[in-house]
Amino acid sequence: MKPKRNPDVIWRHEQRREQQLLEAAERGEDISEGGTVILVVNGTMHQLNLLGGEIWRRCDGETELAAIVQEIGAEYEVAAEELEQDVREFLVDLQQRGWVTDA
Amino acid sequence: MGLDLFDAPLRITWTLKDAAPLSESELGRIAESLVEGGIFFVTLGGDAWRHPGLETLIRQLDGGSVQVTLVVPLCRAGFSVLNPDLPLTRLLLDIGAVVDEEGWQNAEVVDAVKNFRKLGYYPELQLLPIRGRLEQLPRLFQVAGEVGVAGVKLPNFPLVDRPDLASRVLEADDLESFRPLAPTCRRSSTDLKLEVHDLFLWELLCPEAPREHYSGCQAGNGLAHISAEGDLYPCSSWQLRIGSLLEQPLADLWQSQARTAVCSEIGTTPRDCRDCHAYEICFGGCRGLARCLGTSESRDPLCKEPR
Ligand code: SF4
Repeated sequence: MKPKRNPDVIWRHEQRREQQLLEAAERGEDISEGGTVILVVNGTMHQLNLLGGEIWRRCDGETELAAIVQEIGAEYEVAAEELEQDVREFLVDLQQRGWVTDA
Repeated sequence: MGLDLFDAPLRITWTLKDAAPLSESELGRIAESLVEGGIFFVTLGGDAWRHPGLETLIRQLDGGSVQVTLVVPLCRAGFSVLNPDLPLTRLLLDIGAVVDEEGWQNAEVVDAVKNFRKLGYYPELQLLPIRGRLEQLPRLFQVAGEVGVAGVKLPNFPLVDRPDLASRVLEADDLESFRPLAPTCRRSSTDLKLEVHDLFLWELLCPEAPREHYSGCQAGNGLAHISAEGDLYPCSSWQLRIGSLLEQPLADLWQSQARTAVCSEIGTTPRDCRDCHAYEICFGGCRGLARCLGTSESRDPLCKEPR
């Protein structure tokens, strides 16, 4: 599968916010609710957390799901097997919402 | 508040003047800053429609994936100066000047909308709901239905550019007088996309629509305003100059103490709202209006009393 973002979804990577969240994570704080990617879909705003944002930014229609898992795993030093299920579930959710398709 | 603080605003309103305007290169510099900041939506108002640099500006913003809305006042010149193929996401036809005239005719609005359609634009209607205009809202919705526009917008009070309007900002008593007329507006607006900035007016016009997506005043966070001089403000109602976009990039101004102080103020419960049971869905209403017409401890001026 090569997930591809729906071009009708407007989005932005909140880099400064992401940096703050990473620092908070270093301090041991729970950052699961913090947004790093902002999306606007049909006028409604949504935000994706750190893992969701990492996945979303790689949904370029060219990167295979396995490569996405590999890249994120390497960045956060998590075994690919541990991540794969989460990434799959997240992508199924995005597909059901119509925000990504399989390129 | 439901949302985090953003790296840059999501929406910007930008007023342009045609007298002593910013030069095309100055507009270009500001536009570049907005594109770099990843701004999603820009609404161009004031004299933008007849500014000599309008077309270049719209194309630059569009090229940077910014969705552009243009506000054009209802007047004969409005549609004749607009180039037919501008990449606009939305065109708003502001009918304020017409409804202020006694004996205005629906046909004036209908004809203007049709003229824009001939150019390939499908305008929505806009009316700033200042005192003296609420009685016109049933007519506005009637004409909107008659000509079949997709939406109606009742924007916020632009005190940054029009401080003279402060005395015409609505108060709670104005809304009470309007209350009996609201059902008439609702009956004619069932198919319309309705955008109402003021929460209290919104409640009268859309009593069935919950506020659950409202996460508080977005001034200085999701929202910002640029004046005709190129100065940045938290929103068009909040008369606090953060700095000049001709002197500093948006990203720097957004990290300034002036801007973060706005967010802290919005995050603090105003004294006048402290015992209100609706605070969790209202957050003190429009904080720009509240503090510019009162103090940082005031309620939204359209709020009658704590609930
Ligand atoms: S007192 Fe009025 S402005 Fe303040 S939170 Fe309650 S309803 Fe909103």
